[in-house]
Amino acid sequence: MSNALQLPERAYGLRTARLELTAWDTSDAPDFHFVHERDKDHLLPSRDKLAPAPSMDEVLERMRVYRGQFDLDVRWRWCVRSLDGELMGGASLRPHEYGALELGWWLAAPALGSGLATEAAAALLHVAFRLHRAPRVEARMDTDHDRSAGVAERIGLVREGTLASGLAIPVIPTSDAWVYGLALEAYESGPHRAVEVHARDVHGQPLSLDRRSDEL
Amino acid sequence: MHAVSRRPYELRTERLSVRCYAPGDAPALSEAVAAGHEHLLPWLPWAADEPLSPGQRTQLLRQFRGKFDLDRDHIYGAFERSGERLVGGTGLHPRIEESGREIGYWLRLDAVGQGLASEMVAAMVHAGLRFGEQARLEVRCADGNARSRGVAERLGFRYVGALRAAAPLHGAAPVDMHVYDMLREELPASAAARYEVRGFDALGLELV
Repeated sequence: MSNALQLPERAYGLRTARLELTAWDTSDAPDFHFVHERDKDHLLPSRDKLAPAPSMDEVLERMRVYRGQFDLDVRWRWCVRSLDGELMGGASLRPHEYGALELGWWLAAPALGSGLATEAAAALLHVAFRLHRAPRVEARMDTDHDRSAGVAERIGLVREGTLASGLAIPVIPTSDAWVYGLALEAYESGPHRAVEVHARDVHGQPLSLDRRSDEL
Repeated sequence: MHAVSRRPYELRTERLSVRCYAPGDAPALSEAVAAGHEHLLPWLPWAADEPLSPGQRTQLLRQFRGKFDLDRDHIYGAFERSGERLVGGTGLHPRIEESGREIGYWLRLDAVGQGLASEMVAAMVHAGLRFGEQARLEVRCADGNARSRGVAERLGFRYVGALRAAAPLHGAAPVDMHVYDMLREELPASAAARYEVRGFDALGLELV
């Protein structure tokens, strides 16, 4: 049997103190559509590869792509909800060159200023280092997005430089982008160690995120 | 981004729900394959890799669903509408590339002889030619697999011919491959059209 059928450990579900993150599913399409209609003005400048608010058919197609990419380990995107089920945003990890993972996030307008982006991003930072065994995690945002830069800094990422327009964020070709990064060694000694995250696999069974890098 | 069209994620016939697999179907699929492995082994190359471990089965189903969602391959499980037992598998596969899709199918041993394979394949004909965008479907059967050929013939597929020594068999030399096809315009007059098949999208909404 080839390695193609080795089941990798993937966090289909994550729970933090205030949030439930789940791999996007087609059943999330109505809520995604509602939030992107309602929060169009807020989400347009920064949200994930979006032009005008998408139609319901386009959202369903997007959910299929998100779920398919998660299952095929192309990119992992999670739906971020409050513990009572309200859609608060999204977060993602994407493989980069040389084993690094790029962390991304967006928040619905009512969730702004609540620390929820930081909570979701911190959870995924944990998953990136502890489960995916990434040697490095990075995040990119355009240089007028101070709020997003604040999230990166609060979870311990360090601003490493500025990429010229047209290179960093293809959907915003006119903007320069800050690059934030963190290596595994720095993560091990950072404040993020205290984040409480419970992970579940594709069957809803608990996954351990407690391993240190020297145990991996 | 893909072109926007609602794919048939589930087809319902009188007795079957033929739907995109989910990773949680792993135990049901393993049970169905184990129930008649010797019966599948001569005809299906993947049967030689059985039995899979629970982890391998789950990974296989992650790949099935992922490929389905990204329109790389459309693989369906056929479940009894009464009781949810998995009776077989089918799909619209891109193996014949631009000339259309190939329908593959297998049935668990204790479900043979009840017309369920014909019902399952009729669902795929509707999925491809009626709810989907295919202009042509193909069925290929190894020489000697009379049951499989019977399904294609009963549903009204046209016999195209035999590809010589094109069907690999487990533990034996390749045999001839019999090819059948059906065009979109041939569906209304075919026996497959007489099956009542309802289609549902990824949200469970009925397709019209």
